[in-house]
Amino acid sequence: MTNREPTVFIVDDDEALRRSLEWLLGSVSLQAESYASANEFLEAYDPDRPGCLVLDVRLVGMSGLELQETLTARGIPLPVIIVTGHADVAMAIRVLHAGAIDLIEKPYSDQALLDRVHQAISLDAERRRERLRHAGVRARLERLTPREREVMDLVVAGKANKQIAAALHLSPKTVEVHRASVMKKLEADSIAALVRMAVAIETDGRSS
Amino acid sequence: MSREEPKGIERDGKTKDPRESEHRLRQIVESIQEVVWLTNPEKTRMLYINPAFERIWGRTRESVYENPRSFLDAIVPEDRERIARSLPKQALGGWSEEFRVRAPDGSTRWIWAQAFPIHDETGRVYRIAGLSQDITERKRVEEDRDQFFRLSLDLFCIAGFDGYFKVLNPAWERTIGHTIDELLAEPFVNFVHPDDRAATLAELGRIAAGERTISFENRYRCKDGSYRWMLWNAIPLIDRQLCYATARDITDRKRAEEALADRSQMMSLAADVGVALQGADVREMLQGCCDAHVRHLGAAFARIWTLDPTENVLVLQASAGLYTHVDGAHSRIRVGELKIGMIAKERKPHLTNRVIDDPRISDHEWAGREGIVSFAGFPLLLGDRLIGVIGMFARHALPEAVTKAMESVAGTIALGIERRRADEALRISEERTRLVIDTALDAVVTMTDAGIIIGWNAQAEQTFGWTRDEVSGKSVVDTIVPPRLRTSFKDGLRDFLRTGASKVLDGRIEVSAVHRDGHEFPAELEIAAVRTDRSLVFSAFIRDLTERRRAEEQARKHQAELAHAWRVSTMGEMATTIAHELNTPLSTIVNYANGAVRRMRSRTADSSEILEALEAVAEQAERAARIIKTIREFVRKDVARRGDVDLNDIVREVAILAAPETAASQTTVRLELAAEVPKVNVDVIQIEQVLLNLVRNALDAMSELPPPARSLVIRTAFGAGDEVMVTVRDTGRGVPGDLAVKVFDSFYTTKPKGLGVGLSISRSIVAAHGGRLWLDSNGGPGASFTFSLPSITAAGGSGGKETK
Repeated sequence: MTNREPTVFIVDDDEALRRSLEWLLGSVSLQAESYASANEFLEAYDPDRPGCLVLDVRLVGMSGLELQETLTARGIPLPVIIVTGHADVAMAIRVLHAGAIDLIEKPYSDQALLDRVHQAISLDAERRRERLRHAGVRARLERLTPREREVMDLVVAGKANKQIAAALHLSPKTVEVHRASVMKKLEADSIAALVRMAVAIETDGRSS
Repeated sequence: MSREEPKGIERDGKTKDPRESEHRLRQIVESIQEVVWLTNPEKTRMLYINPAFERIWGRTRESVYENPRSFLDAIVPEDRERIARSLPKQALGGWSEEFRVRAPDGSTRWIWAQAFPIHDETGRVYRIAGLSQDITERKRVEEDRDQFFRLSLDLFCIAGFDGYFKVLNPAWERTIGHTIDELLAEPFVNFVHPDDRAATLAELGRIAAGERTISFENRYRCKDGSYRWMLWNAIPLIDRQLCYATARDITDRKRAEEALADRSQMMSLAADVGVALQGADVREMLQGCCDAHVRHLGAAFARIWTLDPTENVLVLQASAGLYTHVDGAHSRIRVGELKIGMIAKERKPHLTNRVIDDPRISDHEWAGREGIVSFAGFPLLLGDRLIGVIGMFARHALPEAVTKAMESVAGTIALGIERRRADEALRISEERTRLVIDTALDAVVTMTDAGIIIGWNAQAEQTFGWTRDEVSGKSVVDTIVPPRLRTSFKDGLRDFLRTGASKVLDGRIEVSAVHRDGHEFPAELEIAAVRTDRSLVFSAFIRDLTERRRAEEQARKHQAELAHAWRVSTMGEMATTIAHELNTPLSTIVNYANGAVRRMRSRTADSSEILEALEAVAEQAERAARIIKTIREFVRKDVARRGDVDLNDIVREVAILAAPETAASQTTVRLELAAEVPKVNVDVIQIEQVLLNLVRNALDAMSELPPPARSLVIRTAFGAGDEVMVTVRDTGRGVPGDLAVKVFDSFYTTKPKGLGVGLSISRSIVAAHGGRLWLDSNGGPGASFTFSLPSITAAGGSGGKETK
């Protein structure tokens, strides 16, 4: 399936509600797919498919919250909108902490839901782009020799060439050569771009 | 001595002419009755004999003149020799003889003859004069008297005031065995019974003072040591210092009299004891018995103790005579203690006429002081059973007759006590029965077998408004049965009273009764047959059910209110899940509606899509409405409407009501419904409430389990006895054995929330439907509750019976 169009995934145990939601999303030309349970969805879902997840908190079997936690654990960044019949503070804190982008109470206004769905889809797209970008930087980083990596880390840490040479027991001239090689290999046109790239990767690596 | 004293003799001394005086003397002598004679001292010549000789001797004077000794020939041979030999003594003077002569006609005459010597101037006896008298008559009297004296059965005596007998007739020897000599040798009082001596001496004193004795009685000792009763008459002869007395042996009469007296004493005692035994109570009865013993048996005092078998103690009940108190030292005597206790223990009488020497009598000093001589005590026995003891002290020896009399009434007293106790027990029981009837909450109407009122207690007056006097003798049916029912009731009652049909006797039936003021009321009736001495009577126990009906209605209302409050409370607890349940169709509707609006606005909609959406909207609206209706019905107040329903439907309905919660708790619910279940006549809402409660309890019990372990089964079954059963089983923590009973109590709960009234109300709801609710023991973990309801076939095919 090469469907790159974002899809709204619906998980709710009430069939009538699922159909009605699909129908509502269809009215604004959003593609929707619905599942009766968390497991059913997990089995069917391809992480490469963009979109968002509209999840009822109360489900038979695995609950909405558990599904959300499972997705996070598996590194699936699909944005989650939680729908509930009766929200309380404790539940809100829990779902937001687990990374849900919002919590909507039933019955909801269609506009509020559609707004959240659009936001979620945008977020997903953004996340996917970022992820792609990080993937390019990572590939370029892998071209660096270990010595070049060492030099880069010190550059990003804001050290001057002389300090780097002393730390690595190299001549300042050699440090200059490595530094130029790093800039070239990473396609960085300035020290600022190099620093930005390094932070992004670091953050990404920590969050996964 | 001579009847006709010659008149001339006095003048004889004055007369001068001896011839004339001799002639006059001769004339006198010739005419007197006695024989006068004159002989010579040698008795060879009869000088003179007067004519009386011829009359008395029957012989001529000439024959004696011729032969002076011929007078001897007339003397009977037995006396003749004695007289002939004594003749020479006539000259000595003082000759006096008695003898018999036989007259020529053969008759015998007693003659008393005297002879006197006549002396001359020289003192020589020259003549002997004699006088013979015919004493035949006197002699006969004497002989008769002697004969009488000798042969009499009565005892004759002459006794001196000196205390000795002087003369005794042979009857004495015959009567008392002592010889006359023995009797004469001692003061006669020595022979008198010691008890009679004082009286005898006193009587002798009175005789000595000149009084006659008439019918004095005393006892004389016989040779063999026994005594005989004598009845005395005596005449004093003061100048001779003696008395003539006759005594008669009256021993036999006395014995007969004593026997008679004993018998009359016994009868008097028995009669008085009999009267006493009619006393008001045991104490009074026994007091009367003691009085009778004192009165008739001469007791110093008499006492009766009764046995208290529980403590084995004799309790003093009555005391008469010297002591009349029933408290004090001898008021309680342990069986086996003292003489009274020994009598009880041995069940044998104790008799003594010598209290002073009796080792069983403890207080000899007291006995001596009070002059107590004798004691008699008898056990009061009924067969082998000891009832009590009667005891009696007397100041005199108790003759056998007295103890016999005591013995004879002891049994009567024992029986009297026992009868009275039985009577009292009966009376108390009757009294109690009467009290029970009078204070009974039921109206008790007693009637004859013809249905005529003979008893009408206080409650009956209250219940029916008629007084006892007003209804006595009237027909029970006409009095308490409403007019429209009288005919059929009469027939039924008649059949019952006649046949004693056990159906009505055993059970209570409900009837309509009528008050005096005409209002009818529901009543419960029970009839019991009571057999009296003469006939069968019937007691009807009638209870006015008006109040009970009111109370039952009240209780039903309370229960309904409580159940309602609980349902509302349940719904409150379920609000969250109910909101979710409602939100789903509402959200669905909103989605379709808004989607339709958007499509139409963007003109991308085709009508078939819109139609589809609208249909879905309608469907979901209905779905929401159904939920609301169920909830509204569930919490509705004016329920209690019964109908014939399928329990499986109720289970399904409850599954829907509970669905939000079972879903929320991720509990697996399985319905195991029996294929064909007979209908039950129930209030649907109430039974749903019971089932919902069981389901929610089950969910609570499983809340601590991980969701996959939460499993709930609701099963219906058609059980024995035409019962339909519903079981709710969970896999939760179960109910510990010690709580198995407690869980049905009101306000008992193990939950942090909730009133704890669920199971209690559930149980009463099920009971009100004629069913039961219980906790099964279940093999595995978890609890299993079941309730049963009678199917309409079991209930006798009720069809839409309505209660309000």
